[in-house]
Amino acid sequence: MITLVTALLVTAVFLRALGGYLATRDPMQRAITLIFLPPVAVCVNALVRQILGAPLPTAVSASTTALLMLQPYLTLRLTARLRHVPTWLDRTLLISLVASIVAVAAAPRPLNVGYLLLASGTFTVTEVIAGTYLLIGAQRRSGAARARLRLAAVATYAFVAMMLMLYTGAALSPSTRSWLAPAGRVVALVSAVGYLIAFMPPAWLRRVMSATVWYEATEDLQRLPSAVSTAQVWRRFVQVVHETTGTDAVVLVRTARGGRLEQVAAVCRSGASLPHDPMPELTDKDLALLLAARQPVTAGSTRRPAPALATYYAQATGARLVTALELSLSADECGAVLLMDRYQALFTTDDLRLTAVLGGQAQALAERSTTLAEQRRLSEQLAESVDALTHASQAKSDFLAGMSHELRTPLNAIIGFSDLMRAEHPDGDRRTVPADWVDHIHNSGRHLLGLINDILDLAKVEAGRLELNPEPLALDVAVHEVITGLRPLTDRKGLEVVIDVPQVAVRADPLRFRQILDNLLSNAIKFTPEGGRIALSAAGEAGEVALSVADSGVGIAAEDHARVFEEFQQVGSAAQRQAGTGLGLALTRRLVEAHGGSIVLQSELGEGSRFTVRLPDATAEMPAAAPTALPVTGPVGAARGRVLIIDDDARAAELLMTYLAAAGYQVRVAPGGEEGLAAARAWVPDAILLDVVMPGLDGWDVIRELKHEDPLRGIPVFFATIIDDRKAGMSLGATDFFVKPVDHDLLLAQLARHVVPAGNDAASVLVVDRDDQTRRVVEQHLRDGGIDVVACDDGPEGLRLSRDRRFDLIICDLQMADVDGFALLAGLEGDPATRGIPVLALTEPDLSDADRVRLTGKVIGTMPRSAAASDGVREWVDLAAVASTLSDARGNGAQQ
Amino acid sequence: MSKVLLVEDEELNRVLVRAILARATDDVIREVELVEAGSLQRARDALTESPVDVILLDVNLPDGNGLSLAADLSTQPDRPQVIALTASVLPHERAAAMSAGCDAFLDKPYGAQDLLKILARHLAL
Repeated sequence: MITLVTALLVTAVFLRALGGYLATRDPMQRAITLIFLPPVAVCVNALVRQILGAPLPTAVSASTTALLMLQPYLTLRLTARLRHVPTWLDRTLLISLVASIVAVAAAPRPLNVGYLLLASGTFTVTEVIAGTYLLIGAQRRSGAARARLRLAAVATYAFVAMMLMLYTGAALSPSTRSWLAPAGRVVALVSAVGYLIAFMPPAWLRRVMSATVWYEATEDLQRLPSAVSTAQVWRRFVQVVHETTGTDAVVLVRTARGGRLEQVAAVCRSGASLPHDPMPELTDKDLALLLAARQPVTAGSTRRPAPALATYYAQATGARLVTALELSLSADECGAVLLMDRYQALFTTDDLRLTAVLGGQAQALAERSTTLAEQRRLSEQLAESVDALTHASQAKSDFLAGMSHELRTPLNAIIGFSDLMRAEHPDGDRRTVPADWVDHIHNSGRHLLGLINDILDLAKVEAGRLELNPEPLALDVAVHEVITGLRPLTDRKGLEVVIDVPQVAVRADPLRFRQILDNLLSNAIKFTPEGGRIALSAAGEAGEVALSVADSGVGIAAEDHARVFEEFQQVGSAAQRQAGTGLGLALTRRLVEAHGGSIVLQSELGEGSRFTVRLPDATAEMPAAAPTALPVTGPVGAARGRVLIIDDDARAAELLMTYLAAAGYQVRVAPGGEEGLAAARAWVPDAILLDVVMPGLDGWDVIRELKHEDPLRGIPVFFATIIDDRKAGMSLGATDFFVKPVDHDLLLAQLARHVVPAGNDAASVLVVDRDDQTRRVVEQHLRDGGIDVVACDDGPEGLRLSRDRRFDLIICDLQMADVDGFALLAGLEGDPATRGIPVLALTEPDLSDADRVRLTGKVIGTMPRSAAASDGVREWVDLAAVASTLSDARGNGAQQ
Repeated sequence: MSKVLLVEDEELNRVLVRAILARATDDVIREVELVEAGSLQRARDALTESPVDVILLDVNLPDGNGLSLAADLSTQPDRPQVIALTASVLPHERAAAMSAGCDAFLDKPYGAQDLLKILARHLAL
C-alpha cells in the first residue's frame, strides 16, 4: 500500500516538473525534472514488482539502480547552474559515480558489504557536496528564497538518508529489509515533496511566500523620508531589488529625449563598479530588442548573440545573464530595470514579478516626490514673492518717512525764522530783521529746493519718465565746468584737485551728466577732510568710458557699499555722517543706469573712496575738428566788452564770471536786483546776464526797469535762470534766454554776436571761394551780422590778402581751380605771418574720408557749402573772434 | 531760574531755538538758562553735570535715537520734563516716542509761538 501511494505521489511530482519544463523549455526546469527521474524510476520499479509479484528482468532492475546512483550528479548539475562548481570536482565525482556503478553491476550477487559501502560512499559524498552548495547559496539570499534553497538542501540530504536506508537494508537481513525499503520510499517521497516545494511550489504557496517578501520589500522601499527626490526613490528601488533578489547588479535605465538611453540608478555587488551612463550609441531600439527576449539573455553566447544593451552591461558588471523588465518611470517615461547575474537565478519568475510590483510602488513614490517637490517649489516661490512685496512696501514706507523727515528739517528753519521775523518790531510797513535770519531762511529754502528736485528726479526715473537727450560730450570740458562751479567749496577746505582726463567723449544727456558729476564731486568734497585730495581720472575701455572720482576721505566699510546707493541711507558712524539729502548717490546711480551705464564703489574705511562711472564711449562721434573748449582760466579784463552779472547765487555767478573772463570779457557781479540796477547805471555794461529768482527785485522787475531807462534800454539782456519761461523773458525785451545750467559755448557765441564793445573793431573775415554766387551770399550774410568781410575768388589772392592783414577767420572753399584748398592751407601754415589764423573749410557733401583726415588739425571746422549762409557760419566767426581776442590779450600780457 | 537742555544736532535749529528764546516776552522764559548739546553723548554729559527742568529732545541724533535718553530718564525720580522735537511724524514714530516716556511732542516745522507755549507749560509743571 505504502509502495503504491509513494509511487503515485512521486510520479505526480515528476509529471508536474516535466509539465513545467515543457511549458517554459527553461534549462533550469529541465535540470529539476531530471532530479526527479531516478526516484520515479525506483518507485515505479517497486510498484510493478509488487503488482507482478515477481522480480523484474535484471536489465530493468540494474538500469533503475544505475539511474538512482547517478541522481547525486544530477543534483550537482542543478547546483552548478546556480553557482560556480569547479570542473575538477564535477569530473571527479562523475567518474567515481560511474566507476562505482560499473563495479556494482559487475559484482557477484548478492553484493557484499564492500560493494555496498563503495556505492553508498560515492553517492553520499556527491549528494552531500551538492546539498552543501545549495545551503551556501541559501546564505546569499533572504526571505522565502533562502527558505526554499534550504528546503532543497534538506531534500537532498533526505535523499541521502533514503539511499543509506536502502543500502543498509540490502546489507541486513530480509526481515529488516521488508520494513526498511518502504520506509526509504517514504523518505524519498518527503525528499521529492521538498524539492517540489522548493523549486515548483503550488500557486497558493508561492503566493503566500511572495506576499511576505513583497511586504517586506515594499516596507523597505517605503521607509524613505517624504522629502526625497525622484532620483533618490529610484536609487532606493534598485537597492531593494538588489537585496531581495540577490542579483549581482541592478540597473534602471530610461528613454531620454531623442531615444537616448539614460541610467537612472544602478547598484552592484560590492567591489564591482558601474559606468554612469549607457554608451551613447545605445538607444531605445536596443532596449526594445532586449525586452523582446522575454527571458534571461546570455551574453557572449555564440549560438544566439545577445542584444547590444545586454552585452554592454554584462561586460560592465562581469555578468553573464541579463534579464530586462519593462517599467514605466512615470506617466510619460518609459524605462526598464536590468538584472545582471553571473549564474542563473533560481527563482527568476518570482524575482521578476516582485521587481515589477516594486517598480509600481517606486513609480508611485517617485510621482509623489515630484508632486511634493513642485509643491515645495511653488510655496518657496510664493514665499519669495511675499518677501519681495513686503520688502518693497517696507522700502516705500521707509522712503516716505525719510522724505518727510528730510523735508521738515529745512522747513523748520524757514518757518521758525520767518515766524520770528513776523514778531520783529514793525517800522511802518517794514520790519528790521537780523540779516542772519534771512540767510538761514534762504539757505534752507535752497536746501529744500535741492531735495525736491532730487525727489522729483528720482520719481521720474522710477516712473521711467526721465527724458534723456544723449549726445556726445567731451569729458574734459564737462569735468572742468563742474569743477569750476565747485571751486569755492574745494578752496574753502583747501582740497587739492587733480584732474587727469584725456580727450574722450561719453554719450550722455549734458544736463544729467553734469548732475552726476556734480553729485559725485560734492560727495567727495563733503567727505574729504581739510587739506585732502580729490582725483578725477578717465579712460576708455571696451566701448565705455570709465570716469573715476577718488577722494582721500573717510572711506566706506565694505558692508555698507551697497547701501550708499539707496535712498536716505547715510552710512558710517555718526561722527562721519554729514549733512546731505541722502538722495544724491541714489539718484546718481539711477541716472547712470538710465544712460545704460553703471557705477561702482571701491572703498575701505580710512582708505578713501573711489566711485567709477561707466558710460557709453562716444569719442568716435565727436566732430573731427570741433571748436575746442575755451580755456577756463585766462587773462581777465581784456577789452572784449563789459558784462554785468546779476545773480544772487554766488556759485552760479562765479561760474559765469569764470567763463566770460576767460573769453576776454570784463565782468562784474551784482548779488541782487537792486544792486544790479545800481551797477548798471553806474557802469553801463555792454551786456547784462540776469537771473530771475532773487530776493527783493527779481529778474522780471530788473529788466522792466532797464528797458524804461536811457541809456540802459539799449544794453542787451540775457537771462540765465532756472525758470524756464523764455516767452516771458523775450516779451520783456530780453535778447536771449538761457536756462541754467547754461550752455556756455552758446552763451559766448550769443554775447560775441550782440556785444559790440566801444572802440573795438568788428570781427574780420576773409572769404575765399571760386563760386561767385556762394561767395556773394556768404559775404552778404556775414556783413548783415556786423562782420567786416573781405572776399576773393582764388587761392594766391587769398594768401596775399591774409599776409597784408590779420583776419579773425578765413572761410575757404576746398575745391578751387588753380590752387586747391589744401595748397592754401599749406601756404598759410608755411608763413609765420599767417600761421594760426583759424580756417573754416566749406566742403562738398561727398568729402572723402582721406580728405577729412588731411583736414584734421588744419581747420577749426568744416561746413557744407550749402549751409554756408546759415547762422552756423556766424557762430564760427564769433568763436574765432573770441579766440583771436584771447590770443591777442595773451600776446599783450607776454609783452608786458 | 529754570534750566533747559536742548539736544539737537542741526546747528541751524539750535540757532533758531536760541533766537526764539531770546525774543520771548514771557518772564519765565526770559530767565531760562539754555544748555545746548549736539549729540546724545553730550546730552548725557550735560545731565550728569547739573539737573535740568526741561529737555527739548531731537529724535534723530548722529550717535543714536534721542528716545533712548527719554527712556533712560523715565525710570528716574524727579526727572525733567521731556519734549520731543521731531521731524518724524508718522504714526508709528509717534507711538515709539510716546512709549519711550516723552511728556510732549513738538512737530517740526514749528513756529516760535508753538515752542514758547509748550515750553512755558512744561516749565510750570
